[in-house]
Amino acid sequence: MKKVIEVKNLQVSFPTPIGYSAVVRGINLTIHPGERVGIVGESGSGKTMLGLSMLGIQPNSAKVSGNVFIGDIDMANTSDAIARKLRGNYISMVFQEPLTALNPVRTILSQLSESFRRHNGSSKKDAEIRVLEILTSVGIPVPKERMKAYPHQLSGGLRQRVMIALALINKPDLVVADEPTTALDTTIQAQILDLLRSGMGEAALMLITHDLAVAADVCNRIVVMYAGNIVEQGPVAEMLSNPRHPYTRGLLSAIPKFDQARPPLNPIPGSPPTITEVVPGCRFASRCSYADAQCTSSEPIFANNIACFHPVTGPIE
Amino acid sequence: MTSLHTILSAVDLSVTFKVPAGSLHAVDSVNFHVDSGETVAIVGESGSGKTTLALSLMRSNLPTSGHIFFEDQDITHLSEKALKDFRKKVQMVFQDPYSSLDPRMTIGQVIGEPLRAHFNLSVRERNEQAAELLVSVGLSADLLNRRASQFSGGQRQRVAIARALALGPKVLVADEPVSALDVSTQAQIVNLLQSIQEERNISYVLVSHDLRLVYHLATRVVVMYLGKVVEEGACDDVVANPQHPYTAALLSAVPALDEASRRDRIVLSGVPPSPIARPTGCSFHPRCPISRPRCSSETPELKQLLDGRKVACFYPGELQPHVRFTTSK
Amino acid sequence: MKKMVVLPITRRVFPRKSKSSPLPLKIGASILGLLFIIALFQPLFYRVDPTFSDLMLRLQSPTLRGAWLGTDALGQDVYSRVIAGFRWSLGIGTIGTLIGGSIGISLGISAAWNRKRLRTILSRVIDIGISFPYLIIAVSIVTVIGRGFWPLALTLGLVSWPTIARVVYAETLTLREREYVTAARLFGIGSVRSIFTHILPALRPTLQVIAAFTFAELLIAESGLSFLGLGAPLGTPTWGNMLNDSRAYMAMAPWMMFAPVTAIIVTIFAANLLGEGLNAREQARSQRVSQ
Repeated sequence: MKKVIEVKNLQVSFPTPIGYSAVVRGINLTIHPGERVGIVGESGSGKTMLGLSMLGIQPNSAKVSGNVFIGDIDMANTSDAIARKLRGNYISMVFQEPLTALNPVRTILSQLSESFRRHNGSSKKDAEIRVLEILTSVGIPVPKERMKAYPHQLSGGLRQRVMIALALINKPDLVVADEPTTALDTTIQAQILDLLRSGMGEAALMLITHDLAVAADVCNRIVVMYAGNIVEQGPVAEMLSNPRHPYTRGLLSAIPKFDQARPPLNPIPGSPPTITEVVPGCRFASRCSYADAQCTSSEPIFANNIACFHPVTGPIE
Repeated sequence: MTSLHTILSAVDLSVTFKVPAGSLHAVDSVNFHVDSGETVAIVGESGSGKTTLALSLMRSNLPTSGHIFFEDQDITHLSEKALKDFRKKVQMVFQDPYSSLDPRMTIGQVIGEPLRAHFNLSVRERNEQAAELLVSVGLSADLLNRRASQFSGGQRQRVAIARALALGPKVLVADEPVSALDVSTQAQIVNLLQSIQEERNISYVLVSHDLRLVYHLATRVVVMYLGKVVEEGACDDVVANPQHPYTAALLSAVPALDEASRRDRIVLSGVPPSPIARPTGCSFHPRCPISRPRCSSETPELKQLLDGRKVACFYPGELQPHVRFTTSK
Repeated sequence: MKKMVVLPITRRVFPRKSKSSPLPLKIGASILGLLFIIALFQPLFYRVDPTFSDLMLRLQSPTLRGAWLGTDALGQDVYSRVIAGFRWSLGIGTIGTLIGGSIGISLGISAAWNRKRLRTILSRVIDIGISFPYLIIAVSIVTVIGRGFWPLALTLGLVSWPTIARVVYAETLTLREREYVTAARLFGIGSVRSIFTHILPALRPTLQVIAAFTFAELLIAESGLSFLGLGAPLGTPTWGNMLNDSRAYMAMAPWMMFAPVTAIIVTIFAANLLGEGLNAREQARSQRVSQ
């Protein structure tokens, strides 16, 4: 099957007072054309750093190893210039706060059209036609007027739509969206989630979020990360109805539901390890009710969509 | 069960801010009350006035008009000195535990601060009380001399709750108390808030945008849109069977864990208008899927329906959210 | 299948020493500390009494045996007079900074803490203070009270407060919006207590930096005023007076100027180093907090 992007044994580490500590700990991930993959994890899970390093825009202090293939080309084996060009052509990114990602002193039209023309070398007029087309497709009302506006003149929801338009304008194979709705109000979030679910055209989507429900709402595959590792992945329906990793199950039973009996929530005790903490064995073991001696001595390897010595089956209780 | 009596209430409360562009009606003629032991949730999006209402209830700002009562006493215009007793009885937990705790203080000083302001205690007595409070929110008493900066978000929020409990309040106003926390720690704080309520019979005013959380915690719900209450009533009525189209849309907009709830989602067009330039008639009509000509000229009053809830809409119950509610055993 | 390149996974490096205090801070603080010790125990460092004048020995050039830094037109020992000048200059600088600081901090905080009219009035007062030429203050104070240590210290305090007030004002405006300050108010904690527990400790790092820079500025201002005859009474061993005295003998006895100028430069340099070091430390700290 064709792949949009493939990540092999990706590691991202940062310098800390006790040496380099990994926030992404050897991740393998493949995204296929048209897929919508939700990367779910809490703060410190490494989900954002995974996204940034796939695009080659991790902070300067980060040390990255492993391979990122775009199409068939290994980013580690090509020159920086080519890698940058490939990434620019095939992947684009949507950030949580579009205000910081858009240029405040240029109109929407000029930013979108510049990006299009740099990519296609087309005329100003053609670019404007494309800008109008893409702004319409992401659901911006009266796009002809709005494209002459500056970013700060638009509401948060509209700005995020512009950001998505910017990400889609050159028809990328993959859009990486990092918490694109976290800063938005509920009804606006619903609009953007709709757009992400059904308005992305041919592009595959990698949605990075802390909110399992947001991922479930948009994606068809869910990847759960914990403390730098992928702990479980699978199709949405399966992950929600029959999760096997104790952490995924824990996340699901920690979310309040529309349940008239209002059963008490089952929180996951404790908190995730900090990045400098050395954890022998499974990094979730100290918070896991299924953990035994094996879990605290050796680290489970990710196989068959799960990294756990004691996968659980059956309904969540 | 104790008989319900109203502890904190607002009558015809309005809060208007002067801004360069005109007047911002953050809260517009709102009636609100909290009874003993109940949890009232104020639900709305940014600009709805939910936080302003909560802060006014705490007399953090002076209302432009209307009255605030605490146990039959009108506290609207009391001086800060006369409010001293009120301050003991109504406390607040903020959204962001990173900015609500002074990073220079030890945990003991943080929790001891309200005690110091109200009681003449020795340092030892204060520390003893602070230690007890720490234990009651599930933290170890040895942490008293640590600084807040060494704590995780969830632990900080526990400290903030301990501080709010220090004076033995009757009402706790919680502004988005878990939305800044990680998913796995959110549930810990939610359960803590519930057990505290059971133990101490405290009333909660929960300000939140998260309808799942609201449904889980609240007994009564007040839905606000552009400074006005559009629907209010028992949680089981308002959330599970909304009558106002805005409430229906809000419920329908909650990211769904099940396919069925996603299918018939009501997606509102546009964004809430600015509270400075509110639409004529019903403020919601420009975004309302069921609005008619009447809605843009007449303003619907907040009227009581047969089941006891109040709705400000000419066509209540017309828009249905199709969100699945379950009942577990 | 393409050949895979597997890069080394992680490399352990030696633990980096946590940044305690930057070098400029250490150097600046040590020099200033030394100078303050000299100022406090100055009689121990005198070669002869700084006001002892021997006209037989006037305008002697520096020698290893006798006057190390030469003598002036009245035959007074330049070295001892420079040492004596430390007490005057550092004392003036310190007290001037304290006066300016107290006025500046109180006005800055009051301006930021009050919401309505008082804030407008106070911030106008600060603006006026900033635009007020300090020579006019100095001249009027000397005219009213006369010359001397305290009038000069007062002058310098009145000169330095507006800058401090403006910085304190700006910072307090952001601090008062912190949620923990709101929280304190909602616990029924009064303004004064809240300022002492939350605002002043948070201002401390900034105040240290301004204090160091203000101190340096006041030393320059003090020398300038003394040089103009608006500072120390004539004959008092201060650097400004020594500079003033040296004017007429610049060609004949350049050491008369050289010694006080060096003292001024070293002191100001040390104070500036200290200020910059404090600033750097604070910035490193806030960066660490935001990470």
